[in-house]
Amino acid sequence: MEYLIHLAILVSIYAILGLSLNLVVGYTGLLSVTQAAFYGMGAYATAILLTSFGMNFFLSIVIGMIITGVISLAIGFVLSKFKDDYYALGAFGFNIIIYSIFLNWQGLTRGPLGIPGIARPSLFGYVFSDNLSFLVLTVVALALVYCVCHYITSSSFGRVLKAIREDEEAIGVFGYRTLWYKLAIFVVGAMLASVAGSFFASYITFIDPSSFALMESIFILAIIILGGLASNKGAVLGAVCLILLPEILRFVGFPDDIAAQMRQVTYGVILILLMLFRPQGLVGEYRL
Amino acid sequence: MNKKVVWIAIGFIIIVVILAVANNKQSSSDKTVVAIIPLSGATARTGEFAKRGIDMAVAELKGSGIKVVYEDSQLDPKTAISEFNRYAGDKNTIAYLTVGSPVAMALKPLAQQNRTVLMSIVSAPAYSSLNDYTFRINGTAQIELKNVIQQIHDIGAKSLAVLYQNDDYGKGLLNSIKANYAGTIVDEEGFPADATDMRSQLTKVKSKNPDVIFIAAYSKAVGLVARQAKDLALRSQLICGSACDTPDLLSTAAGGAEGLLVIAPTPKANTSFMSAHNAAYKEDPSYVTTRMYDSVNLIVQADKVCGTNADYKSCMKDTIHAVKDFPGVAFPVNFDQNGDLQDQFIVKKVVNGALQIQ
Repeated sequence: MEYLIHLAILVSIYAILGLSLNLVVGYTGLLSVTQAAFYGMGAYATAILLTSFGMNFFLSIVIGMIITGVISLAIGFVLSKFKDDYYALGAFGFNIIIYSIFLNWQGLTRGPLGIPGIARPSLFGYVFSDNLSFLVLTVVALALVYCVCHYITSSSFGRVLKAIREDEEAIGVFGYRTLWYKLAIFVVGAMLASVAGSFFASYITFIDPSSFALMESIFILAIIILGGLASNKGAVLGAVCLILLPEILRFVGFPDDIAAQMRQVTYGVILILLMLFRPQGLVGEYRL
Repeated sequence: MNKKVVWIAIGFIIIVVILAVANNKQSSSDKTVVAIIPLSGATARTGEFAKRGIDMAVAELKGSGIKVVYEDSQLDPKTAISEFNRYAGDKNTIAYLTVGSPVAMALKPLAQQNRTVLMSIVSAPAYSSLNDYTFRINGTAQIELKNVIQQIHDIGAKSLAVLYQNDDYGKGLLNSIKANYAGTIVDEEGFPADATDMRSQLTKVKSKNPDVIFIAAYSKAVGLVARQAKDLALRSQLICGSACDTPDLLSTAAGGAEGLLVIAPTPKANTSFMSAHNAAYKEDPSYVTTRMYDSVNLIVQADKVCGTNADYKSCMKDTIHAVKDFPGVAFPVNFDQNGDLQDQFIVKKVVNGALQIQ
């Protein structure tokens, strides 16, 4: 049971990440690969505030979101100078910069030594120490994030985002300042990713920079591409599939000596096949 | 579309639940030690060393009623937690073995919560705590550094430079040496954990002309540094610590490690172990191999003591804490009150392309 609860918690955290990135990539068409950096900012904000200042977890989420929002605003300004492939490369660069800061600002993040002993959330004296109660909390957070994303994407603001994705110049002709829309959604996406980071830090109780490297951004991107771009349900579905698929493969009886490698190869092959036969993702409505 | 989403998600969830339940039902009456070690990825070689030691111990365990299962941690905390939880509900799970700080630190609270012994090769100082279920089966950075500093004094060095791998092991040793070394550290240069070209750092260090360069890195990186230091005609004495005491050191250095001093955590293992290992794997054992071999034997020994104890889990913990001069493959095994191995170090030197005990 603990195993299944653990997987459900991971699915919830990654679904939040998928939803947050889908706003930027799926709905606005900005190929951002910086999400792991924002995820890490939330995680480090919570880890530092809880371990060094004994702050309440929920307050640390808010502070993490504010910090991430401010930093992502600056990053978004710089990235707004780029388009298409160059945008993706710029985003790559920022992920690497933030990762390097996590790794090397030892006075703040403890560098590669990581931050241990991060407390579980508590509310009015109730500590979410067991995994079941933590799962309830993450599912509530996922539901809230889903509602926020649904509200944004079904509003007139969301329709402008889709229009930017389809033809930015055309929407500009109608007097929309696309820069501000792109910046706003980039910041919102980053702040929501930071929420996932806060939950991750408190759940694992130990963080180090390795959890927020570039590969993690690519994994989050894979979640939304597989689930389906520009679909909130797709982002959640992508998280379910990509978190559970490796777990299913653990039960396949590969020989012991090559089991680990075979699982990864099989995982890769399944992803390639899915992209070949469902390039728009499982329930997507937009292709990169 | 809504129906499609729901059915795909439900399908995945049902498959996982069925497999998880079936996996639990399949479990035999054997007690299980779960080895959550990196079997793929950049640290797979360390996992391979660990697996060798466990395999060798398991081969001698026939009829003991204990089996070992392997799971790939990928050195990723969330993957390791998945694996831990898969076995946590099984009453036959008696202990976990793991390698690497990110994984060991993530599993530490779970081991406490489940009251199950966790034995790890780990460098993070925070892993240790008083009389709990976690055991460190390698020396702490403090013990290792004490031996390194002693060696630097013995050489009569006046100046020291530190070249470190930018990860928990390298940075941990750097911090310790800065805190404990009374002499002059003329330079400290870091390099990424996956770096293969350290010539820039070595060139900078060379300009400071230190008597000794301490390399806080794993064997492959140390081998490369030694090779490149030779190419740059660097004359300083090179010293490395426990993590470079693996067969990969000499193969990576490709003849460039002559004169390198290794502060090794393992004296020569006993003859029968060495023969069996070398026959099976065609190279000398890494200290990771010997530590994992000893750990499995320790768990088996503790299980013999606690087999019928009403509080089996607590007994396992207390028995391992209380071991005194347990006959390890290389030296007697003892733990301090924090569950840290009281490690022993010797000095080895690369002479004529081979490691010789000094």
